[in-house]
Amino acid sequence: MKKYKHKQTKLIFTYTALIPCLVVMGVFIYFPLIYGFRVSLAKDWSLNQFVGFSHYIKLVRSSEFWNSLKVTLVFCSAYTLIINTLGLFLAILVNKKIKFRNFFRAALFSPYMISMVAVGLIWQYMLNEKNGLINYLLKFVRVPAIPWLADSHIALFSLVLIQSWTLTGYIMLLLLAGLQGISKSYYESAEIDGAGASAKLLYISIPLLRPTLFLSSLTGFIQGFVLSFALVKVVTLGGPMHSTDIFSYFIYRTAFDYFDLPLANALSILGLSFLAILGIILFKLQERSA
Amino acid sequence: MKHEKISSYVVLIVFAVIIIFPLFYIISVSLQSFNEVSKYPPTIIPQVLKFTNYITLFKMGHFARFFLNSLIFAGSLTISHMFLSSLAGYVLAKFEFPFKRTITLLVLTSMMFPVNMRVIPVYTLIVKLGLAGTYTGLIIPFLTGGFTIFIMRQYIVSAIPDAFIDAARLDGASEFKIFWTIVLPLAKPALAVVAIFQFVLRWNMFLWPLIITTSKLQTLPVALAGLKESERFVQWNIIGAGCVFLIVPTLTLFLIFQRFIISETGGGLKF
Repeated sequence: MKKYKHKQTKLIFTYTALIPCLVVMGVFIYFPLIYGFRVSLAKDWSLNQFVGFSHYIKLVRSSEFWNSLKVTLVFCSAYTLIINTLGLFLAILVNKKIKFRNFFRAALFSPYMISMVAVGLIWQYMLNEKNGLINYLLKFVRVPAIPWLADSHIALFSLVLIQSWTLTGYIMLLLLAGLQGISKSYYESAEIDGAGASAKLLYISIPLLRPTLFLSSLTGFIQGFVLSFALVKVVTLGGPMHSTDIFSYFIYRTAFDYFDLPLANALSILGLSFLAILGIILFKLQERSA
Repeated sequence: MKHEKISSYVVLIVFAVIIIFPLFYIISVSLQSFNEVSKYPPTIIPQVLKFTNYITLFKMGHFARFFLNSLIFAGSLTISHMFLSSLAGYVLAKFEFPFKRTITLLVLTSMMFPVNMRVIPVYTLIVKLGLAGTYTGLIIPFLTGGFTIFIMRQYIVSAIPDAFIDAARLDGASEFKIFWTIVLPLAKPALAVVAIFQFVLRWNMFLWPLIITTSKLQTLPVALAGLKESERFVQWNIIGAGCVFLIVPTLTLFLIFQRFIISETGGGLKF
């Protein structure tokens, strides 16, 4: 009898402990997906008129939508590639037995802790075409002033650089943790066989780091995806000429500049679906190659 | 061997400078006069340290209020995550119960939806609930989350022996008492990681506070962005002071607690 009562107490405790997060997640993560979909099928957010999929059709027909997708894909792929390459390189360096390595780890990681608003403002000031520090320093190596943020062909590239500056240290630490998980005996036996540094990297480190690299790529991608909104809103406002109109900014201005909430909801649903499909594809790819 | 070490140092120093220099630069900018900050060539070290820029910042921008708003937003969510997520993580780590697999799946998949894609539907919902422009509306959508639950669960599963819990049960302690007096103290490292990352994340959060707050409720990043946009001719020295003011709290926290994040043994990111 006592055992049954005890089991009951445990169950009550368990579900009581879980109720807050289930409620919060249900109401503010899962329900909005359904609700957002419902809103996207209406004419305006009073939900009085039902217009079916006309918003979605409008989006698929709009060049702004495809431009935004393209910009986002280019942007996200670029910085993800950079931060993982640089991050791996730095993680290897910072894994060595050198003095001050904790200082280097902390220093390289620190931009991740800073608000993207501050990051954007600092870089916007430094990348100013006429008075900015970067162009001023470039003069000393005889490079002409570059319109970092004013030229529609360069602006996205500048944002990629800023985003990489922010996230490289973060990825470095993730990959460092993965590196530290690799047993030293692999390297030792390779050294006995006469392997040099690059051989060790190519045939031991990278293959064994594959799951970590997959995770760091995914995490870096999502982090940048979320953080880049502040960057665009503060620095480029989607321009010049929509060359930096990343998806989350496109959603924002659809909702608050065009005041079209159902369209913005449709965009959000499309974005989420796209990310879900991407996630599944990546997961299957990772499973198959493992 | 020595060659390798020297070249490693050089590379690391170069990267460290690239990463850290902008931070020093913005401090310098925040202390420059308006003339210095607008002229060419750009000043790296100001002639006079104009600390009055910070006073102007507070007068112009009502920044004391916004600082308080950020503190309330970040602070309440940090506490909420520390409590709710450790409770949920503990239960998912150490208990067996019906629907456990489903619930775990729900918690994990919730991490798949980045906040940027959720804000518009959540915004619509909050406005319809009449909570726009209130602290409540600002805070409740983020009271707990899959990521922090996951961190707590992973730590509790590996670091807290079942024996402690079973012994306490034999002694007749209530389940909540076991959680509060045994599990939580033992989970301090994970709690520290959750606390720091939550606080920094919410302090820096931009999109959500931007769309849900009215002028008095704005958090610091939103206010700073608004301040910069509000003037035709941006006073970069004042904005610089705003940036410094914005990043000092999170950087300070980071410096104090970096052991938990960076070190070999306590590396929170190992999860």
